[in-house]
Amino acid sequence: MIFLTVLLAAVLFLLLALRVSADLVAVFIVLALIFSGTLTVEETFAGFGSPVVVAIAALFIVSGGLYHAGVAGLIGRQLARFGGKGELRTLVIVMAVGALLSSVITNVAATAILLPAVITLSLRSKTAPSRLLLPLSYATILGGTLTLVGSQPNIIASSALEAAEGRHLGFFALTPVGLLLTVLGIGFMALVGIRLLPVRQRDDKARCAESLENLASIYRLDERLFELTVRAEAPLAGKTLSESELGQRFGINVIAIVRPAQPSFCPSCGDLIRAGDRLIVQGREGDVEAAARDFGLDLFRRDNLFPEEILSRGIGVAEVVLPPRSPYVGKKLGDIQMRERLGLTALAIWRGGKPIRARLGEETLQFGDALLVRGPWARIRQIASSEEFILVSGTEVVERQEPRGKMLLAGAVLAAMVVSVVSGALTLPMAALGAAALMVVTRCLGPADAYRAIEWRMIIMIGGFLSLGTAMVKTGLIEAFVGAAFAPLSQAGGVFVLAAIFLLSTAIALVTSNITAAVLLAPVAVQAASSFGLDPGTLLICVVLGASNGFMSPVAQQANLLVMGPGNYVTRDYIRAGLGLSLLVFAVSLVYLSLLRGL
Amino acid sequence: MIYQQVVIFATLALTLVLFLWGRWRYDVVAVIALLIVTFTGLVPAGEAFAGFGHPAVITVAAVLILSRGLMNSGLIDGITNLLSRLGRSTSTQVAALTGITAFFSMFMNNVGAIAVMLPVAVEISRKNGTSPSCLLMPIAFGSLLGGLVTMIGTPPNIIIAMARAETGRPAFGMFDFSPVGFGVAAAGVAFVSLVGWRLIPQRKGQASQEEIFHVEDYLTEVRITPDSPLAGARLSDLRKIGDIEVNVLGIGRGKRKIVAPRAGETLEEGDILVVEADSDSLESFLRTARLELAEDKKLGRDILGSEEMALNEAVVMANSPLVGNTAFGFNLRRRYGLNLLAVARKGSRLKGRLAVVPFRTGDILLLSGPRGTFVETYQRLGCIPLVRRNIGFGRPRHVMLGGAIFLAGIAAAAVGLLPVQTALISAAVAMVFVNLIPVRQLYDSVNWSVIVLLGAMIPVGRALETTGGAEAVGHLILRLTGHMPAAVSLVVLLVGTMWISDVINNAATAVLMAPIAKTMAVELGVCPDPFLMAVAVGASCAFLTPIGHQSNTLVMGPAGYRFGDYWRMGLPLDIIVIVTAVPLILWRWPL
Repeated sequence: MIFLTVLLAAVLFLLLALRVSADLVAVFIVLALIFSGTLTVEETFAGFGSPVVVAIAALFIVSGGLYHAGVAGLIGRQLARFGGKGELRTLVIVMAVGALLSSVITNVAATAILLPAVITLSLRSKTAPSRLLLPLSYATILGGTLTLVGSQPNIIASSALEAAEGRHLGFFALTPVGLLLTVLGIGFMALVGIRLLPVRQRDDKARCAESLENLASIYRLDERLFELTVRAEAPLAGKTLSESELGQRFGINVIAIVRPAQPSFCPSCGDLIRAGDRLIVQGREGDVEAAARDFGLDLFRRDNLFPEEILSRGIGVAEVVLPPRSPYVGKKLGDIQMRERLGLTALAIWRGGKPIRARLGEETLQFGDALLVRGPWARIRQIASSEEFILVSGTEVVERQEPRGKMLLAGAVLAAMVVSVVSGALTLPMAALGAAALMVVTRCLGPADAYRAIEWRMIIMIGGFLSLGTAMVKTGLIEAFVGAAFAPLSQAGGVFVLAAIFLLSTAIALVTSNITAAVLLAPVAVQAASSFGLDPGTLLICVVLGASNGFMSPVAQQANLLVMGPGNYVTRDYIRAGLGLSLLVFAVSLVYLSLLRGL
Repeated sequence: MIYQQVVIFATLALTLVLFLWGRWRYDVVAVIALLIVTFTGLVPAGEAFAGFGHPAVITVAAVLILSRGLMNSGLIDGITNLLSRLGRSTSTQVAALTGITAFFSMFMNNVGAIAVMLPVAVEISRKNGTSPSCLLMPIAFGSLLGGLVTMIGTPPNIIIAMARAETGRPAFGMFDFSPVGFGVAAAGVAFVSLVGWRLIPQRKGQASQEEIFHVEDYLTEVRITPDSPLAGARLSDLRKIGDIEVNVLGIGRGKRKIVAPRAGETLEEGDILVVEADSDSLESFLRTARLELAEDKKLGRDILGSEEMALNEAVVMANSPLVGNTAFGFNLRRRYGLNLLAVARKGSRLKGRLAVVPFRTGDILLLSGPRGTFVETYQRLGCIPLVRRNIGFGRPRHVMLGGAIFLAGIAAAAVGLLPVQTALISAAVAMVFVNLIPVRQLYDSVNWSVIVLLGAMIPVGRALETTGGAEAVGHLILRLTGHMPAAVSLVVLLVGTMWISDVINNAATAVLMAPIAKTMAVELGVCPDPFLMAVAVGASCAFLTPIGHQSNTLVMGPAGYRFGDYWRMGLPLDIIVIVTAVPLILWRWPL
């Protein structure tokens, strides 16, 4: 028991202080449990074969199938078509659609799918994106409580209930409270929250292709642009851009090669540099000076380089964000070879409310980054239609148009899954696995795409943390904790236990993630229910709602993190806009659970 | 009981049919089987997913991660580089290649070993003029034979090791497989290198051509005449002058060469375009765009093999996301910056519009792309390079570190210090920790389809046992052989396992045959160990068909083999395996 307490502290330390990624922490837990002999090897790994893990993995595939078949894209297009008359109306529509979509797919997937459509809407309704994106993310979080499959904590709670009582949470067990919270939450955001949202005016037009100066000035690019003239005797003359090693040696990005006869505004790495060329480069002043010295170049610092030099015909600047599970997360920008592979040049990274402009190649990309890229419009539109990036700046949302039959098929598979769970014919893991298999069998998505749709880090993380839960139950740590922490409260009344569990769950979710909160607290809820004679179902729903109450932090929910870059939010914004909503959700949940559902 | 047995046999029959039909991949089929047995109540709902946390599954995942770590460490490359000094004798080449492949496969998964050795073998064959059909089937079989030697060599061994734990005795250890496995592997490799390769029909596979695909034959240089509508137009305007299927790979303008020109590139009078097109398209292109042929073969060669761009050939693996997609649908060019120049399937080059042909496992792609990006791109595309040149290596190597961590993991498991899955997972974590495997590669290095296959098949195998289905099959076999010595039953089991493994996945074979082996032993009143060993050996010996094992499938395209080529060397090899395995099993694991 003492060992487990130490382990728990170590886990929190790794997660919070060292920011070790949660899947590695999970593996650490697994090894620690085995080496300490707390659990047998079989018990430890049983977490990975638990129905929760299978259900969550299978639901990723179902979501992926819906996405690939174009169902999700269709919803995005419809949203862009019907929304956009007045800020308030747009906000309500965005939130309602976000919540509905999120009730059947994961929160972050719903946010990612709707993100481009919402940006388009914000342009059309002349609203700053920061007024709509956080509401979108909040709505998907609220919508996650609408059904059993809406978000992962629901499934974790359901399986904990099954382990304790032999019955599941029903598919719609959460729906009454979820609906209540969603409606009240949308109402709150429309009446109160909208006043708390920041107006990060990146200028309406900043998102438009025509006036990119503004976008560029937000990223404060102009300070970093220089012009270099290649002298006749310069060692650089006659070399190609890649041979020049301007990038590797000096961290300098050549944006254009200007020569009277044939300006090249989007140079490729094979382009020759000739004597007399003017190079428009981006980089740190010191680096550019050093390069100028070494290579025999004349340095000019020019004001207002952007409009005429960079915005030549057919070349544009656009803002993109990395989607969840992007293969680029964790890679250096220089390693993904944007110029060679995509024909685009990255100009800046927007991270944590600030632009990063120098030495971009060595920057490691993080989830939630927004990138300013430059290149031919055709290329920019192409990456928008691929799954590589989500395009958030102003061009039309280009979506792949999938055949209608596939959409119907994918919809039918989803419906069959829901019906079979609701009717009680199948348990959720079985139904989800069946639906996942059907998605592959009906070619809504290929087998390789199916595996790519699964977020393996989350799967490993849940597996590992589940064994930690098992160990805490087995050693009696949970019982001791519940006895010590909740016994006094239970004398004061069940509602206090409820409140304590809710707040604990929210606290864990805010600093780690909603899933960690659910996995760790589900056994606590079960134990508390049996110790104090309360309804375990109610307590587990309380854990879920508490875990979903992560509006105040960008890390609590991936959906929040995803909108951080495009919405230009800082951590403070989440607290400001989310505090009221959090309190509302807390109050409504407690009232519903204690009075309507009953303890 | 009868109902349940009917259901399990019907399920297995359906599974077998689906495996053979091949429309859906084996992991999908396995999940379908799992759903059926769970839905019909043969497997209790609570245990339906226990397979995914089964020790065998965890161990297989750990071995896959460790294999990647070994490859990243450079240890493997160090050994394969020694092979380049081989002599011209085919027997020597076959012996060395097959032996090394078998050696790698003892400690890596089979497909990992073949992926490493395939480019080496192709290079040797091109350098010495040896037909690749003499070399590639031997290395494929070598990877299967090597897997027999240790517990972690191949998933069937892991499954059999764990199956023994279910009979109430400790699981087989790391080297418990070695006495039998090493004998069989040694005999097999010796047979393949001395006699076997002579039995393989000579095929002209893609790998056999020095400059494969004869790229230059498909490249044409055309000059833009003054009255051509293309003069002054952009490259993207090409489509406007008619429905023309040509691929412009480069432009020569005076001394300047533009490699992989952008769509916005403005064409000038006198430019020489290097285009890839078949003769019909070329003719209409010349006519409609009013171009003239330019004899400048050097330009085409320069464009293809320039400093930035390189050519490379790759084989599409079974778990590649390309399978079933077209180059057009997959956006190969814009997502990966790769130009698809040609596709070869079953030894001949595909004709017509490449962009709309769905890829299949084993296809060989000729790609041009930015130099130095191939390794990374191939990992994401699930392809392996056919030759190693031009692809470059990305990362610094830590040969000693990789080897040390791996050996420590194996040793900890072998001496019983740690349970095998714990030891291997710890070693895998250590490799991540010292950055031999970047975290982002971690999940890519696990072949999830094998994990799902095993996770889904293990409960099905258990259902075969609990319903008495295994017993029924055991009875059936013993009715024929029961009155004879137990060794005869052992031979029948071995041969039966081999046959099943020839048509379905070897891990699935082991999962299904293990309970049958156990019931046969119980029925005969002998120790189950020899029977389990026979299943382990049999499951890995899929030599008769190209579909029995991924290694066999993988070499089919590069060597140009046909379905019927495999048994010519495989059948004698099967006999060698039986002749060596049975006495060794009976000696090491007496009845």
